[in-house]
Amino acid sequence: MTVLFNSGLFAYVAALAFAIVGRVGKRGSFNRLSDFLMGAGLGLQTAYSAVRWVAAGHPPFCNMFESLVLFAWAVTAIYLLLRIRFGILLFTIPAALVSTLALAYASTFGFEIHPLIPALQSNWLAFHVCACFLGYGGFTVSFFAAIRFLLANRASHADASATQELLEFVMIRTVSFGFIFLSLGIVTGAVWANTAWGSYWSWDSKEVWSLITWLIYAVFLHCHFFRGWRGRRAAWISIVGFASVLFTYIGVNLLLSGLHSYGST
Amino acid sequence: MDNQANTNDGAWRRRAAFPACQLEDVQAHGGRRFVFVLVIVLLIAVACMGGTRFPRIFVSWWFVSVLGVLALSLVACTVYRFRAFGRSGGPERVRVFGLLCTHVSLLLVLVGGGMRAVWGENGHIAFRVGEAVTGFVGSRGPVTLPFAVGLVAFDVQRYPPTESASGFQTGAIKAYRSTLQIQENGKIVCKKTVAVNAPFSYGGYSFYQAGCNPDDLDWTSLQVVRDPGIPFVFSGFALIIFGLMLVFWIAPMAGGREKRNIAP
Repeated sequence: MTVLFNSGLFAYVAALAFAIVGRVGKRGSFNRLSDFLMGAGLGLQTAYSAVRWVAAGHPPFCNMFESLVLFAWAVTAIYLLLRIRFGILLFTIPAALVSTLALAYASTFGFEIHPLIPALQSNWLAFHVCACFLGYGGFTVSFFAAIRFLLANRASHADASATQELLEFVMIRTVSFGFIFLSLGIVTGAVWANTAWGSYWSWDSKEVWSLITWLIYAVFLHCHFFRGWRGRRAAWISIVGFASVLFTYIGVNLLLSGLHSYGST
Repeated sequence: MDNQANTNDGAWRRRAAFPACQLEDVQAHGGRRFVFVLVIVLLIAVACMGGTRFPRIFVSWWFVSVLGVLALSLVACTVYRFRAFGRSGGPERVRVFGLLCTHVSLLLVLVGGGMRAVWGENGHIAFRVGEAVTGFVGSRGPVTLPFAVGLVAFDVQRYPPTESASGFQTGAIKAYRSTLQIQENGKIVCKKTVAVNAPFSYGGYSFYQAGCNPDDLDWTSLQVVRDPGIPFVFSGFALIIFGLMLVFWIAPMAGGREKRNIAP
């Protein structure tokens, strides 16, 4: 089983290496190779999670290790979605890097499967966690676009404006995607909490920080669609939003306590 | 470097059926009102950050007032969007209706939350097998139930024991269940088992399996909740997902692509 995990990680490392070599050496043919490796990584990860699901008898989304695996999966899946649907090649390096780092960090936690505590025994588990992580994944790719926008803004070259337009498009599109899924994650979590904890909202630290993240991206969407904010200003909100995503995901587990504490082990 | 990175520039443009920012929208949202709501939202976000350290903020009068102001601005927004919906036509109508839904849904959630705070009850009952109770201590003092709740049976299920280097360990708790019996006017009305993630509702009260004592398997505690706001909150939840899907998914498919790429 661990073989699948390790080969998935290896595929992402190789994708990253080929993407960097392709970028530095200006070798377009390497792009195809790194895309193939990203796809292979996603497939291997999916197989790993499926095997783990069967072995454990419950969805593999219950602790820090499993959530990091899911995070790498979501980022890669959204990268490939943008790649296939819109032919966008700009994010191979950051997507491969983040997936590699997430899996490397995951491997510092234990691989063993723990029995499911009563509170987590629910059909909502898979929906709630997957929705949240698709949201996180969308916001992460939006962060890539925002960083790239701010860097490209400094350099001046011929087709800068075409690239900027594309980056704005990606930023807004991925935030919208992430916003739907984060909303879905919060709503499914609330409905589940009402069944498990007797209250749909307990001001638990994970709940509160996901609300803060939701509010920041709500501001992003309102500023863009109703005030016409684009470019640098939109990029900065996206970066602030991603900082909030990171805190909601990792920071809350490490620094705060609460009802979601099983996420810290 | 971008030339090489983006071999098929333009492909995304053809496929990008997505609502870009529209000039009419920007003009319709007055500057001052927008800044006011922005300040309210940022204030809530900052208060929430503080609240994870000082939870008293969430029940403070000023935080609740700020949420009230947000609710009022959502009412104003709903009225505005309702008028805009009346004026709109064609594919645009779908988008405006979606926006109406998302903002009404937040209002429903806030109203439902307020109803729980004002009329809701939340407390615990603890008893042993064979005992029955007719009340509990709620969030605002003692509450008398219109019926009696009795504990008929309680059982704890464990995972199989594990063997490790340190020795033989008892398995972790897999499930715990209480079998409850409702009595009205001396007659047994119904009998039902509650477990974690499987509460039981009767007469407007919901019973949740809360605690157990590994050393005393005849004792259990239940959480009792009465929440008249639930229908509002849950319909708000359904409506926000519906509205977001209309705005970001259905409307872009229904609308023309070129028309939407108007940059202010």
